[in-house]
Amino acid sequence: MKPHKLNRFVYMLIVLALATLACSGGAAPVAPVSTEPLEAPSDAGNSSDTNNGLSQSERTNLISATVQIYGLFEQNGDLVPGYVGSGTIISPTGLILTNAHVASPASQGDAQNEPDALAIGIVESEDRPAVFSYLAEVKAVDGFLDMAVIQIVSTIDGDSLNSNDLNLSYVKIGDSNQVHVGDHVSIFGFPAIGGETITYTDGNVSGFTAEDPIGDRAWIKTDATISGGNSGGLASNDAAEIIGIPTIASSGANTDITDCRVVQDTNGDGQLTEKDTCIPIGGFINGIRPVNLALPLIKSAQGGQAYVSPYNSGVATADSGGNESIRNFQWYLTDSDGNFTDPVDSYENGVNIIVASFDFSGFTKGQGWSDIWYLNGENLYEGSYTWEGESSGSSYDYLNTTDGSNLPEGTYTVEIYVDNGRGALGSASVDVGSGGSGGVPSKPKGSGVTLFGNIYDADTNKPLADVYVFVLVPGVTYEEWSDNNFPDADVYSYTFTDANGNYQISDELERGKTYTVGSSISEYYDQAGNDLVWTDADPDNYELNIGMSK
Amino acid sequence: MKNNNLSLGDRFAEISVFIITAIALLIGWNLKSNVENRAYLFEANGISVQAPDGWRQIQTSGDEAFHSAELSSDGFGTTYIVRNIPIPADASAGGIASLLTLERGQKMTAFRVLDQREVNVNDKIAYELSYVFVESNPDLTHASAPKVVYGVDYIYINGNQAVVVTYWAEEGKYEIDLDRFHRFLQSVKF
Amino acid sequence: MPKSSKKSTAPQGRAHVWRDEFILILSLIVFTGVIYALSDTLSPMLQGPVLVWAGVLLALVPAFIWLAFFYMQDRAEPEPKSYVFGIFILGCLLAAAVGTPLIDSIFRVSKWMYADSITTLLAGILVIGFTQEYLKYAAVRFSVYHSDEFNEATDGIVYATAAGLGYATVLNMQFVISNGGVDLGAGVIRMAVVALAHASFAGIVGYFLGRAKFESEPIWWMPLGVTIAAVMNGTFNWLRGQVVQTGVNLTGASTNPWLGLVLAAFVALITMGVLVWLMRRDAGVKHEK
Repeated sequence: MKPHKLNRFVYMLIVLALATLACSGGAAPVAPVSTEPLEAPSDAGNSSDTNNGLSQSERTNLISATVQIYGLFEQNGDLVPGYVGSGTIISPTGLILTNAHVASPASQGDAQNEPDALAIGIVESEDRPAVFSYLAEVKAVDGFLDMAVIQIVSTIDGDSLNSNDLNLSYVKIGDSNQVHVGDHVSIFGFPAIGGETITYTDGNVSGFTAEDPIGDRAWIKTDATISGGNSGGLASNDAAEIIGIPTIASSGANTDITDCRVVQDTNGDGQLTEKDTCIPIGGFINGIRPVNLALPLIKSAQGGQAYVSPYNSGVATADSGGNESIRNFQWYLTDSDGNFTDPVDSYENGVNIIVASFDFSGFTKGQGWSDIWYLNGENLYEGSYTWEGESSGSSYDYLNTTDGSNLPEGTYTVEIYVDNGRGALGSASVDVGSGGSGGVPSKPKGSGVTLFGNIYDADTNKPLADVYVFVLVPGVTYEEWSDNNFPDADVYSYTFTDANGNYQISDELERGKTYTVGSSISEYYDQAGNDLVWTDADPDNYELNIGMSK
Repeated sequence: MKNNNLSLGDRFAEISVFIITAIALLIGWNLKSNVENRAYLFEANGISVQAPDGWRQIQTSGDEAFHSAELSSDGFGTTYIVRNIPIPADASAGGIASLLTLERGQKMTAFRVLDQREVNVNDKIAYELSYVFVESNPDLTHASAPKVVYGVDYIYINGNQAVVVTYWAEEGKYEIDLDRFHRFLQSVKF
Repeated sequence: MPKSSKKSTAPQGRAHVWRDEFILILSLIVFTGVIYALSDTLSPMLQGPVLVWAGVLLALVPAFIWLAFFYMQDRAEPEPKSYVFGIFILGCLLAAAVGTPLIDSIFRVSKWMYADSITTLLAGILVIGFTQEYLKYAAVRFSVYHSDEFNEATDGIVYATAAGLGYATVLNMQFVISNGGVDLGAGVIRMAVVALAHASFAGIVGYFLGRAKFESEPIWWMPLGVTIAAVMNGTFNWLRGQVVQTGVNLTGASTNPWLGLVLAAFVALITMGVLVWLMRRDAGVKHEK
């Protein structure tokens, strides 16, 4: 290239750059403003303004560490709040102490009210309602104690986050054994649902109540009156340490807020139920569960271990020895004669039998036991048997296909139970293949397909929010639906995508039926497909992503 | 080579291109109003309306006779509802409006009545109730800003029934789509 | 390079026009392929405003390629550069100031054009097609058309292509900015499609403009040119919508944007072929006289 041409070339580059500015009409791209969560003013000044022993900065920290918890329920693909409670952050990584009836009603036998998700509201300003910022998962729960430890796992939008980066305000755990009658307690919580700001109540420790089988210090009684939503909240001593959880709704009884709890087997039927006479924990005085009782839950939640309640629904039944245990699960390959060959950590695709061996002890010959097999978390098989073996030794459990076909790929889990109404004695999981669909399964019929996925702009690959995703009644085509002016009556199920373009159709689709699935949003062509059939080979959760174009 | 002067032919050519483009755009504008006002006859539950084409027909519930909403990518889908409310013989349209206000105030966020008056629609006396409310997705995981929605009810007394024709549209769209709703309102027969 | 003389209207004298167009098509496809292949590597590095700026740069590439080859011609008598570049800018300005406001804000086309297939086609021709092609025509007609720098029939195509690429550049920038930055892989395909299509339609307008200046054409000649370009414009967008849509099946619905690029390249090549053939025929007719 000759020099003068090079100059020309450079000149043109400059002009083009100017033209860029001209053409874009000054509409420079706007940098998204990142808003940082308000720093918790945990050490905001050393105010001398004290209130019954708590300094202002201590109170500010306690307020910042008190969270509002919403139990969310799925409705038409939306997560809608169902009930509200309170909780206390006990570690900067987002470990929260609350009531079991707030975190997991199922742990108290109320499986119907088990929420689909827990939302955590953080107080950013004491004069404003808590801001829902996170979703949490139950890490350890004790239905009997009505205590639970939950962990923040993602932002409210479902984006996962690193708990070590959370750096939340938290409350130190006090020693509830050092609480004495007449001590001052401060209670923080959210008494009402929606739009309410954090509320402070104070009072004194008026006494203790014993409860079988917890012991003498099962309840701390207080003269502070606490209303419903405070459940799970924070009761603090004057050192700004949590000494207990205000606990109101009684385990066993329904949603009634009561000051009377079933704490003893008064009718002597061996079970602690609402048939038992409740023991008042005192007039208008409410109960605080001492925080020391929660220490085992906190420990197992921090260690990532499963927590097993030592209070097995009251008095343990004596039908079985209660000493059964199983351990040391190991998966094996088998040869054609059914003999174990090699131990494995996972199976290749194409096996038709998987075997788990385990060591057991404490069994009684002739006692009942059962197993449940899961594939990708979905119940696959349940069986009840009579124990034929010795009291201890090694045994095995297996899952095979009845027709010799291959087991579908996925993660298999087996749980072993004995008939004492307790949780699983043990469980083990193993992967077959790389997960996902494949092979012809022999799994029980009747489980439908749940559709989920992402809707995006095919020209930009950006997710599309608020897209109407529909499944029509089997047999109705998109064209027929359109010709009839889109009646809802022809829609089997529908939902709208969230801000990240994700959707999940709440109603399961029946396998073998012919469905029409599509998506619609203004300014884009409708996308639809008729004659979609899901077979038994398809997984229970079926991902269907749809790109839409203009 | 031609000179720089504009010849008569050139000028005609210029005008002719402009005219053909203007004609195309005029037809395009017609097409736009045609498509936007496309309607079909909906007859059920004792009413008949010219319902907008391409909207979702939402399953009617309670005293609703007709419920249809636009599928919108930018927020709240414009909605038309026709209700048949059974009323006592001596009820007045104003009384029904109070009832509706109470009902909406309980259900809707930040509900405010803007205006109410008697109007004449299609030679029939109707009670017009206009209001505003905030529509927000109840899903806490659904990050979208709440929408300000303008609404208007037209209440007709028809024997022992009140027929209520409702229009809801997002703030920015309300005025733009009002003409279309007026055509819908005039098509309501009961 | 053969030396071209002022008097010659033979297409050989302007062979570079065809070469430029061909190079534009070819390099756009290559460029799209390269960016697409790199997009997985590049995308994680580009976030927020950087992604927007990357998109804006991409939007400039088609025009840049064409202008670069145009300006690097070693010719005895090049078109005045400022004119070609000026028309490009004019195309930009008309698109941003007139085209987009008319189509998006006044006609609000995207709100109603997807009602059904026929409406999509008709709106594409009557509103979008006519507006865009008229503006490209106007960019040339009301600027350089009567000047001495428009001294060959082929000049019409050169100037109109510049206007068309200006229009396409603005559309692509608006596409990037309104989406707050786009996925490079998917975005570059769309930008290449838009640029190729607009350059092709502009070529048609340019051919008619060139003939209108140097031959005495009937009064319907120029309206015919704009109409043909508008019809092609609307039909192309409609066809692209039909082609890239796959419908929903059990594997989801992944619209195939590459089919759109294939269609655009095909349309551009055919258009170019037809224009070359027309220009040769016109020249032949002239020589016989």
